[in-house]
Amino acid sequence: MPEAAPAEAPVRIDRDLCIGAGQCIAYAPQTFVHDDETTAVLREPPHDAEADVAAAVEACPMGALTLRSSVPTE
Amino acid sequence: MTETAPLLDVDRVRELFDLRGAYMAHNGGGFSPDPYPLWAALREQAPVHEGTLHALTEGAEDWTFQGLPERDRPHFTAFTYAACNDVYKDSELFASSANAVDPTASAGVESSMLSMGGAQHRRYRALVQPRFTPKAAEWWIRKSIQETVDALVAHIRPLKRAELNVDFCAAIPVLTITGVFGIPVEQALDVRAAMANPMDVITIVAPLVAARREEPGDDLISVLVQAEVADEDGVVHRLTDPEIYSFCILLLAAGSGTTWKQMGITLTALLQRPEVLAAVREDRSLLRPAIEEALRWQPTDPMFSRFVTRDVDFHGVHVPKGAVMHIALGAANRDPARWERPDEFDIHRPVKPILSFGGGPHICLGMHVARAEMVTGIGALLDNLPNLRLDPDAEPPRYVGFYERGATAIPVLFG
Repeated sequence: MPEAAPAEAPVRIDRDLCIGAGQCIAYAPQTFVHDDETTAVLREPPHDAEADVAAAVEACPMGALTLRSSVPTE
Repeated sequence: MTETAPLLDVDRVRELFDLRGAYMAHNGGGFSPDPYPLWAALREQAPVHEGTLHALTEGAEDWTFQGLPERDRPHFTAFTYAACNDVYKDSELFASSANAVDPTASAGVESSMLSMGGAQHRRYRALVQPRFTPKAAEWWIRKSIQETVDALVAHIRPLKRAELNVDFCAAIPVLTITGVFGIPVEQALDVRAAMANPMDVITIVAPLVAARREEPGDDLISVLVQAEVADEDGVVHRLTDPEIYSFCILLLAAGSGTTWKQMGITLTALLQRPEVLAAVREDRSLLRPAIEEALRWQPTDPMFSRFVTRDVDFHGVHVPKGAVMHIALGAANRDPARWERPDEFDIHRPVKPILSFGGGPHICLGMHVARAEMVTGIGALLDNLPNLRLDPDAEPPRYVGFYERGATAIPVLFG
């Protein structure tokens, strides 16, 4: 039996766009955190309500976050 | 100072923080009708209108906000959430300044990162962003907010009555920002008064900048004197004195002038709805949603502006290069396309981002500090003032102001 694939991160973060404004952390503090360069990274494991994660993605002032479900799969 | 003495000269606070007084007259402080029905009608007519917000709003006068309007430019105002959000999201098309910014020019807001764009803005903002994250808000609480709030509450608790807008709300942000700057309490109100004349701010901060260059401490000025920024050619340099002064003028103005009004707005909304106040007192996890809902429903700064950098057809209107686009975010925050019953203050709404802190790369640097001040301040009132309620025998608070909105006096009883 094949091993279960690791759970995919729910959000893609564009580190080049992120300015560290912290909106994602305000809306979904159990999913996002800043690294020591004040850039958003995902917590392991992320655990906020889906609606809060979606709000965090929308609230990013730089459009640096993308919900995995809206990333086209190949 | 004894523990229960007022932290600040109350009469002077009242003068400096009276929305209807001379200090606020230029931006429409005395405006008393509810502008939201008028803005809703405009928003229904079209997403974008030609004209400034005050010119389009019946009953408003020829006011100014952040130096605008400039007479020789065409002016437009965006009213829907979609249009306002599009302005914020495209900071190249909708720039924060009409001209390139020379940070080494004389100190002032026009030389600060507020007016910069693109990579230059990003470099300067990055110098201070680490002290303004949600995590860093804990540093602000430890360093300044908690002590200020505790002292103010200790002062009013035995009195059984208080006027919260000026005697509580107004004092917190000015003492918070001056506290993290390392400016003594005795000078806090001088900073507020100096906002009308930036040279006076420099007089206050210059000796502190010099002292921190000699011996850095755990405060914002020390962050600035130790910061290194790369110029256009990649050459790294320490910030010059004028660059630091520009930062100080911007941060002190923004830090002392907005959160007090928003906290008063939030308290008024709660006090006028005793059942909502009781619910928040009972379940403190509702305080944050109440603060966010007040930000949506009644933002203290309902309008900001951007400069249009090329001709564009925007939400049905042709907008020429050189025009100014005003963002009526107060109207956008009540767009029925996004919120059900948008004119109702409802703390149980599903979470949805709002435009009250702006958007794009210039989104409010201090938003997490503002939220921390409001959570700490209102939380302390609920913890310490049992049976907090509006004084039924006093004039009830109302929302006034145009480009800077807030509550009139908030007379309360407790105990």
